[in-house]
Amino acid sequence: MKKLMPCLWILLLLAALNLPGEDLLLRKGRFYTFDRGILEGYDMLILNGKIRSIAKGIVNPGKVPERDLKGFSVVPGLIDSHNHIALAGEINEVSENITPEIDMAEQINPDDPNIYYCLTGGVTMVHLLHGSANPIGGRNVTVKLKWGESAEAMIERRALPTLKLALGENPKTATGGKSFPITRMGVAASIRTAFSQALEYRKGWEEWRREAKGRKKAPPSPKRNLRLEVLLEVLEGKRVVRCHTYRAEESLELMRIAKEYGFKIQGFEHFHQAYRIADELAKEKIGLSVFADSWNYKAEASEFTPYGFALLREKGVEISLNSDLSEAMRRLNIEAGKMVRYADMERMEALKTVTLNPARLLGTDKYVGSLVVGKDADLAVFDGDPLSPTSKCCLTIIEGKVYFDREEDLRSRSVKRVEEKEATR
Amino acid sequence: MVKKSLATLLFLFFVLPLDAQSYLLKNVSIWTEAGTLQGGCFLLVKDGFIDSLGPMKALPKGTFDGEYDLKDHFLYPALIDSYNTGFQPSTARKGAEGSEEAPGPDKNTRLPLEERGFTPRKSLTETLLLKNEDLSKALSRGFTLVHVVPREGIVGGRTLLLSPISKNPKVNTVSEGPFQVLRLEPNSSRYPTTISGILAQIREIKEELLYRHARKDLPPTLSGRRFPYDPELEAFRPLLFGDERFLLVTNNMVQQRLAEHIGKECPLPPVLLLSPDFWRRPLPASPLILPLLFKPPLTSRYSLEGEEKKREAEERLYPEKFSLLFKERADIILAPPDSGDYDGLLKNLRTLLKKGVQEKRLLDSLTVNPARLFKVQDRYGTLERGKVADLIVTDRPLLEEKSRVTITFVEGRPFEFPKVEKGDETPKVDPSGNWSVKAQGSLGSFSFTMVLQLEKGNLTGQLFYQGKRFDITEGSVSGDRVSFSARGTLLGDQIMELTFQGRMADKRIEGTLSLDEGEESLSLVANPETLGGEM
Repeated sequence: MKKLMPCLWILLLLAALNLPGEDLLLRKGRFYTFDRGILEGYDMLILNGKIRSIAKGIVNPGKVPERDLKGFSVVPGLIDSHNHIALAGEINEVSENITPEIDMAEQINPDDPNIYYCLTGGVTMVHLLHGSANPIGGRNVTVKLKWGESAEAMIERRALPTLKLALGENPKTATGGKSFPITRMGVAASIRTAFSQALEYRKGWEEWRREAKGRKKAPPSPKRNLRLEVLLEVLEGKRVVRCHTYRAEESLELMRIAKEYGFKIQGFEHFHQAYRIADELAKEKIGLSVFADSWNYKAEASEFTPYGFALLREKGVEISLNSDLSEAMRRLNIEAGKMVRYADMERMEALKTVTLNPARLLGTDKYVGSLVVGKDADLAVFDGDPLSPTSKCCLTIIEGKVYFDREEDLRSRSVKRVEEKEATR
Repeated sequence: MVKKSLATLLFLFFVLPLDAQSYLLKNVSIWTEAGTLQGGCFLLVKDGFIDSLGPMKALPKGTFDGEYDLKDHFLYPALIDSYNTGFQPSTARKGAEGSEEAPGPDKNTRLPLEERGFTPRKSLTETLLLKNEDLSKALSRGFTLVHVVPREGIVGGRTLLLSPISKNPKVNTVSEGPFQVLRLEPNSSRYPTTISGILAQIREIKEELLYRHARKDLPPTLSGRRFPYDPELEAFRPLLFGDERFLLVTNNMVQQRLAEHIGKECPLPPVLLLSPDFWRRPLPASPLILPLLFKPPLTSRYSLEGEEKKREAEERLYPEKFSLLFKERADIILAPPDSGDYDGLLKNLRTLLKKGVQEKRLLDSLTVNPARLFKVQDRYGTLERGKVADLIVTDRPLLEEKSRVTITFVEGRPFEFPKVEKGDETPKVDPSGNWSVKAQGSLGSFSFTMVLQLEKGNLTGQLFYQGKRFDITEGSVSGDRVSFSARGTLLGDQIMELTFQGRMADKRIEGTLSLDEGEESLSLVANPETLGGEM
């Protein structure tokens, strides 16, 4: 039996590798690849949910179902790097300032209809964040919008673990000025204090380990603090920071704190004044997850110009567009189109702001974000120019499985409409 | 051993004040453990226990305090209500359902556990409220044991297995604290305000207890500090390290998933109370209590896909999933669809019977299985010699349509429920038609509309209040007296029941409206808009 075990494991592993994803053969589409340009009239073979080949006249290797996409544009599935859909209940642990022990992965609600609504806009992957009421909020989670499947099946475990931080108005006004912090300085101070506590906590454990080493009866260990342990993950580089911010000076302050404590800021959220510190952002390789042209909805969000993206792009800051709203998520492709106008981007580069760039921001660019052989077959199919507001998303595919089919949806809706009409007659 | 016999002694002397009476039930069909009805039997109740039972030819001789000839009647063990949030004052629940909850002092000071909904020491016995209507409702439907669950707080205190009609109302608790209830509904302003925070709080308590335990033998100088005894915290120790169990109340899939995570923190699998969406996640091996409700939870996709799909799910999908579950597991425990809704439970049981679930399985889920879960199987749950004489007599097999409980024995005492003849007088008035109603009472004035139909003395219809529909049931007209009860959902899943009794004269009905709480009664005058034909 013992000899058989390794064989069994290999078999199990093979089974596991083969498990996820479906097979599909897309015929004669217009494929938007970032490395080979637009491939007109090509076929794409998807096996086990992965892109196996993009070429002309692919021979069907077996009984792979086919779909004719003549005249349709196929782009990588859109990725929203900042949203709060599909989370049950409250997403802000408003009761306290520092709450990294909160985990959005535990609050996923796979029944939220917004999952389906967002599929209708070609979105396949979403980064679900804790709210911004706390200087240090909770842990975030990246999911694929596999409508109808369980929370576990939706979680994208290959993504970078992230932690939500927030600066500015939200954390400083969350208690209506009743408790610390009520200033931007206070917000920065609470973040500093928390990381200092985490270091202190680590020191306590290190001391105990030194003392316990080699002793027969070790002294009792220090108390585990699950809150500070998440901050240690950040300090040890196992988790990255995504920070909600609008203003330049406090973002610079957080960058200083990050340097002081040695953690990585993966991205700034919203950040309207980013163009003011474009050089610094480029130097620290901090990404941006921003709205294309939405501003002036609160005091700190008043200073903004979408043309700032041109400057940021020139300096080499990577821009990902987000929606932060279930409604806006259905038209992320149009938001990307705006980058052609505001940021002097080529069309392909603009498309990257909702595909490859957010994939990189989430640490998933090895698996998704572009049409490359070997990556997951997460695709959005449009009936025209994918950046145009006149185009409609017709198909949304995740790992080879069709999760949204416009034709199918309309058919079921028209049946329903007839039934409703008859019922009210 | 000593402990056990002492407990039995205590039980005999205090918990169960014995009724020194004997009753002989003759010619009755008895429900056997094998799940069949055996006709022509007798059962002798003596001193509160089942003294003997068997075929009529072995009928014991002697004189008895009472004899019942139960020809064409059926005898079952009394039923157990495994989840009831009644029998306690109706205060607004803290947390998600949203009473005004004052925020804490500030975000940097954490309030003690008991001020944040973690009250494991809270005792239900102190606030137990035994209302006549609740008691008679339970008895008349054949339920003699009720598992009362605290409805407030996140960790809301121990549950209570209650024999509410026990002779001595002060000592009617069968067992206090079978479980500790945990509801996955966060607070509105105090930690935790998120669902994830509830799990985080439980983990934090666990770490604190571990830390204290590791230092319990150290002198204060070595341990660095001395811990003041924290009874609230220590109440969690048997749950997280011992043999006490949580009863995790879940209302949807998200909460069910979190309950699985909390279960991993406990040495014993917690008892799970699941929503009708239970089948959408793999079921853990934990003991399961399932309210027999064929209605998707509010956040379920089956609630959101439109009225038609929802109705289809209610009529077909959910009953099917329940019946499949009975094929897979024998240890299922059923509870009423809503707290105290015994008629709804019976109705849905009949649906499951039609779906092909064995009668024995269904009755086990209300008798033997809960008795085993509450560890009272040596006293309750079956008709056996030596068990407590909690039994019910019905005029038809229990799960047959129109079956009615005629006598309920509680600890050997019979409570009879004679059939009330509906409409003993012929109706003299016809309230059929549309009504707009203005009510005046201590709650202030309010108005609603209703539609009534009278057919063969039975009154049916609907009542509309603030856009919500209430179905009128058990309505009748007798002489000029009009009475009905109505039932519907008011806010979210909150069920409201009301009963009305009044007299109709000259196109007006005057009477009293009793609301669910039973504390508020209103007199109302109904003005007819259009009325049906005069009698």
